[in-house]
Amino acid sequence: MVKFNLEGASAAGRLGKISQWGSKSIEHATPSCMLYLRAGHVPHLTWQVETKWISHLQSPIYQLTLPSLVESKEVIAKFKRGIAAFCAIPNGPLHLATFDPMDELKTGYNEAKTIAIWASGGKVKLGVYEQHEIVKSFGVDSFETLIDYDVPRDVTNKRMSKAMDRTKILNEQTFEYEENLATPVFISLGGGFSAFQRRKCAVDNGMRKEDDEMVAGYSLELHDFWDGGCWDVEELKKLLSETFEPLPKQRLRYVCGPFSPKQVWHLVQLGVDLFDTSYAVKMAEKAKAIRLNDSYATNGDFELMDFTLDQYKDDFTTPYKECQCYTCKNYTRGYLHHLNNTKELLCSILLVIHNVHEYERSFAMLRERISKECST
Amino acid sequence: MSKNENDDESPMMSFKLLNIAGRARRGQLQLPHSIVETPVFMPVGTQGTMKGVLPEQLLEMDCRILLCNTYHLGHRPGHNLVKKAGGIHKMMNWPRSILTDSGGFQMVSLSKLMTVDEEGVNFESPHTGEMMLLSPEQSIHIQQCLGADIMMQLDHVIHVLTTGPIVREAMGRSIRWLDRCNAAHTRDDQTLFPIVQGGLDMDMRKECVEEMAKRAKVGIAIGGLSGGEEKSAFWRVVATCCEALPPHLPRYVMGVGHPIDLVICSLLGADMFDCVYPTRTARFGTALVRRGGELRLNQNKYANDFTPIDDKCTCETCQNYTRAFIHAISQKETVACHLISMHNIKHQLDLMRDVQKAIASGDAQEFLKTFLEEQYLGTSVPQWVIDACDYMGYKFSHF
Ligand SMILES: [Zn+2]
Ligand SMILES: [Zn+2]
Repeated sequence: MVKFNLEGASAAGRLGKISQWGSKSIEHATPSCMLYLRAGHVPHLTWQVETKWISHLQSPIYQLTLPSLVESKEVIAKFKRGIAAFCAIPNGPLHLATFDPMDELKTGYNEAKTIAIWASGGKVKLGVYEQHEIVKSFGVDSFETLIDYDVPRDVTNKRMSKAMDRTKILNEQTFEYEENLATPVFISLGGGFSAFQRRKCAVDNGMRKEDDEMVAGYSLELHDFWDGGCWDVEELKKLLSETFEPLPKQRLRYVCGPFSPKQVWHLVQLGVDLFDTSYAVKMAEKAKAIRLNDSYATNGDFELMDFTLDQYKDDFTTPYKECQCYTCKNYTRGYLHHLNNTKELLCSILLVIHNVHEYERSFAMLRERISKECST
Repeated sequence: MSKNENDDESPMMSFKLLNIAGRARRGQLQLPHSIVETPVFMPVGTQGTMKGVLPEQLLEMDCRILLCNTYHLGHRPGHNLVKKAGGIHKMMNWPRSILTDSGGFQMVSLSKLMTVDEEGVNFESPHTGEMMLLSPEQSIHIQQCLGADIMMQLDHVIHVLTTGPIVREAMGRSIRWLDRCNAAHTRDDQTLFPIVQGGLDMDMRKECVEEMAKRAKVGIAIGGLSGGEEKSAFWRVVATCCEALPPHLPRYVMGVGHPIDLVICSLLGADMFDCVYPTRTARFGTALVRRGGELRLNQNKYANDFTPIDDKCTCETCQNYTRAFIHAISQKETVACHLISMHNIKHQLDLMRDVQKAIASGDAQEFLKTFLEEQYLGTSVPQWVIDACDYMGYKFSHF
């Protein structure tokens, strides 16, 4: 089970505490984010670098993403010691996300009993049974029900209702398998851009008993809103309130995807508890450093420093003098510009370290604000 | 001669011989930023960074000295910017020693239009396309802006297989250029290594050694090798130069880095080496191992191999990761490259520490025997290695 205690809520968001995640005891306050992993790693960082040079504000919950691992499933099964040992992941809760928030989801590939994900060798069809086998041999602490995510804005009614039916079946099948597995699962909730379907999806799939220990929480499917996609706060507000309204409030609400600090700021207000750090990695890979404004908690404002710009070429000051991360304490803007300019691998390493640190800090700022609002 | 002649004895820079075993030497090279134990392998951080490895990780392996390339840094970010950044050490966050090359060699290998005259090396900038001149004075100026502990003289590089009067001409020019480099050299916290030239002609090498050694202060390099010459000629040149050189100068064989070359050259009396091989080969998924030499982790036979790269290795990679995992992510994630680079650099540093130990304890023969058995597991030892061992008086009945 995933033990989540909702401690308060204000207009700024919900405040909660996670104390158990599958077999692992933790102390993790929300709103927060899981640590995004690709191939079982924070991209560009070996675990030795990650553990030594990123100091997390809370002990991390690891978000494994399946596309980078699915092709190794036979090897991992043979290995027998689980995904954490295979990828050298430190001790901590492991969540298996179905999608890689750094990749685009293509349209037109889902079938009646399988959904499509994209690995390095191309499309992989994933059904409930395959997923079940993967969850078992990986030895993860939670995963998500499969969902037909392919409902873009211009989807036909026919395709939409097909997607809703498929998602419902995938959800039911998962809980049938779950009886002999006992790994907590997040119920995936979709419905695209339709407020009606969002609510229907929540009611169809999310109403399991509140004391059902198989349910880890809800996983909100929002890939059409990922950074770079569309972003309409009023629309989101409608969709999310239709989703959450019929559901028990006590359950953890998670959303997978690269969301900017501003988008996070909005989504937290709309009631989301848990995110992932893929945005931090995505920006690092574009040679950009994230910096939250001091007023971030009240207005969501942040900036990006773009090291592809020549203005940093001869600027040998620290990226951010207030920042306590390894990168800001040891390197300069000019050096980061040079590393990007020469396509050196160290550029991504240093920016991932800074960005993950800064991204996690945004949640600490939001928690502080909500907690203040709750106590007054 | 140079105006800072009197700084030669500066305690900031010196070389101390600790042990001698046969021709091999173990020593300590004191440089402004660290004491370097020799024989030493210097990993190459071409652009002022070590291919995805943090400086702290190199410190943990007790790496004492790196090489950075003047040609690359002179173009990007530019030597003036490195100077503005506070020098190369500060810019890249590396507290220990650094050696920079003269920039000449890369010019010869990377520039299409390149001519050499008495003034210097004329080349076409690959970035701007304009013709530029690298003179001995300019090379020293750039290297002084970078601020490495050891600078290299600009020499007249010719292909190692060149023969005829041009070899002598290039040698004479390199000596004249050394004097110009010395004259241009003003910083007393950097030393300048001359480079012994002379192609594959042993008499010319000896002649060059005599001229260069006279002008050398802290150390000296043996240049013009690793350019595709026969191994039989390569080791003889190293042997000849080491014999002819006075013992107080550490001898740096440029561009050498394959394990067998490191071992043989160390035993012949060379002290310093550099090569991009361990990090370059890591990018293609190849790990260096004592047993068998190389492990090409991309090969399918490693897909289900749950052992570390080398079960005796104490590097971070071997302590935590299997061959199967690296195989699974090789060519897909940069982490694969970092993991192999870490191991490969550690492999080279450990190998040199073992060579040092063997020299200190005087059992070079035993070390060499084990090394060769492991390296050439089930295959025959190359003739040039046998010849070099023979020359040094190491006898192995079963080869
Ligand atoms: Zn920072
Ligand atoms: Zn190793």
